Amino acid sequence: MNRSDILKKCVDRGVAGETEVGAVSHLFYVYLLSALQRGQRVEVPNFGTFGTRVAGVKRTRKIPYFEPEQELARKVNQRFENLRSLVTGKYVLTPQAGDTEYRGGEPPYDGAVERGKEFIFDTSRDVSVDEFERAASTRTEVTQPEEEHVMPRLNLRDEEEGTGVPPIPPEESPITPPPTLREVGPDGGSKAPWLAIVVILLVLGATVVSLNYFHVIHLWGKKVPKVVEQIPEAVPPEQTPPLTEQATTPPSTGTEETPLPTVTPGKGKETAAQPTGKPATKAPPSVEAPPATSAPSGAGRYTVQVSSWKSMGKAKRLAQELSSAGFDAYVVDATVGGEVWHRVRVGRFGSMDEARGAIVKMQGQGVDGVWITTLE
Amino acid sequence: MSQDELINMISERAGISKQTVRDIIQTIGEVWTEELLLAGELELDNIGDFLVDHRPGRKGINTETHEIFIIPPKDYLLFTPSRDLINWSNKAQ
Repeated sequence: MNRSDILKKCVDRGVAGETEVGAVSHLFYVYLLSALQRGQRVEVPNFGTFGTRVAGVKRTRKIPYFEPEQELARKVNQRFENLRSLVTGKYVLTPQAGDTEYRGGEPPYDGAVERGKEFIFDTSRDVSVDEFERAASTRTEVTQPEEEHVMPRLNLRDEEEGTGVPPIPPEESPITPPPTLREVGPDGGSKAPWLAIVVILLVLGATVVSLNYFHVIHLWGKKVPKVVEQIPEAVPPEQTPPLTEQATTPPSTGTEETPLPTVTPGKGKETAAQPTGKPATKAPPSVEAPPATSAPSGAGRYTVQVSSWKSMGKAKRLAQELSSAGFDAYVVDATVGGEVWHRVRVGRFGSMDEARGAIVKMQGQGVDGVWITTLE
Repeated sequence: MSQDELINMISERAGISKQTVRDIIQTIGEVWTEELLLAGELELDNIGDFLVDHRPGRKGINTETHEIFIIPPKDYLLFTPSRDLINWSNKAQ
């Protein structure tokens, strides 16, 4: 609200002329400032009181304030004028566990001082130190006896001869060592069994984890299959029959036999073995041709060799599977480099074409990796 | 400075009767009050701002009687002095 608006409203009320109202309002403002500067209060009728109070850390700054008149404060708070404080209950102090309550008896303070009254120390009273000096002069110094220290006898020769003073028994040390884990009784060492159990479990867990990590045992993770090395049977080049060059599926090097061909009779679901290992590089020894133990009695010169095994059982099993698949399979033993190999062969054919037809038939049954060889 | 002292000083300085000065000052106070109650706030040039503020009700505890009571809400007058008034009050005489 501007000053001119206030003057206009005052003039409209017919109190005085515009000049008089303007002069009074101006002087009122000037005296208000000068009074506040001097730290005085200025009362404005029907409104309130202006004043200043000291504030700030150094208590040198004056802050003007305003206190409304009681009538003005009542009008401002007209909405909540009739409201009074409402007591809703009583706060009860509930003593907690461990609280100590004073229950009378001897007061903890000086009885001469009345409670609730201010106690003033009389600093003007003369305090003489004669009494203390007298007590100090009559005081007798009490000397405590010195402890007798007995040095141990270090002359061991006298002790051996029995002429010296017997050794002094060692005194118990006042400082007792702390009890060990085993010495702690059931009352004091209630945590010891649990601690031992936890340590044992940790050690066992670490052991199991390490064994599983190094594949000693398999409890979880990817299982590593065992690698079985099979040394293929080496065949000397001079023993290789010349007709093997015409074979439909000769071995890769011609100096070895396919050790484990895939045999899947029928639908080819069964897998006997897969050829593994590298060809032998050493010179093949002499081969002694053993007699055909279970060879068929046909008059053919050619036959189809499927695989060669060191184990007789595996060779017989494969031959049995081939027989069940409808082939005339048999096992022939041969000694290569001083070792006996069991060759699984199929049929005896009079010509190469018959042998090739048999190979095509075997391939149709899922038997691969075979070749034609001649019978000695 | 009381009300009479202020009126005497203004009357002497302006050459107006004391009654007239008293009426004018009372009228100024009435105008301020009416404006404050109607608008809820009043801005006076070079003096400060007046504002009708509201304080909500709250819960209180009398520590001596251990009584819990509710303090009712209240509207009160808040005065913020202007920068000129503060500077003038702290100005050395």
